[in-house]
Amino acid sequence: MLNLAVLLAMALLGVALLLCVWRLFRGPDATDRILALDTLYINAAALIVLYGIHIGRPDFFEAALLIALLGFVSTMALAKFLLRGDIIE
Amino acid sequence: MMATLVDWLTAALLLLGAGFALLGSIGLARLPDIYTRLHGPTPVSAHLIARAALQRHCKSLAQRPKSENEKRLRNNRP
Repeated sequence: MLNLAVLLAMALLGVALLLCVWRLFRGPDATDRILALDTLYINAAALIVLYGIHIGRPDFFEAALLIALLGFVSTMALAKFLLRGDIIE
Repeated sequence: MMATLVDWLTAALLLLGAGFALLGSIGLARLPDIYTRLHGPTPVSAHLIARAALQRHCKSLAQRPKSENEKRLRNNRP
């Protein structure tokens, strides 16, 4: 039953990833694309954790941790670049 | 008995979390402008993205009086 729940959750997150990619290519402004990337990395980290649960290996949790850290920093850098025209002033 | 209870709870929470992620992405894809799209998915850096959108003169759905809108935009310019 837990296996079935993990598979179903992975399917839901896959649909969420597709919606994020649609907004990433569609988005009328750069801020829309940044927001789509932000949501994309959060959903990708969740999907990687679910895959690690599914095949029963804990190594994937660290990959999800790395994606979360780097994604947060890169979203901050992109928004700061839009605001100031520069990242490190 | 206890193990099955924990299993059920885990499955329910997994499905709840994935459902909320899907809801956020549906909001990101379907809502009409950037300020409404911001409140759907992201828990992380919405404030900075909203400031960037305001600085790039993205139109909002909310109808503000024009003079106040321009004053706000001028104050947010670096």
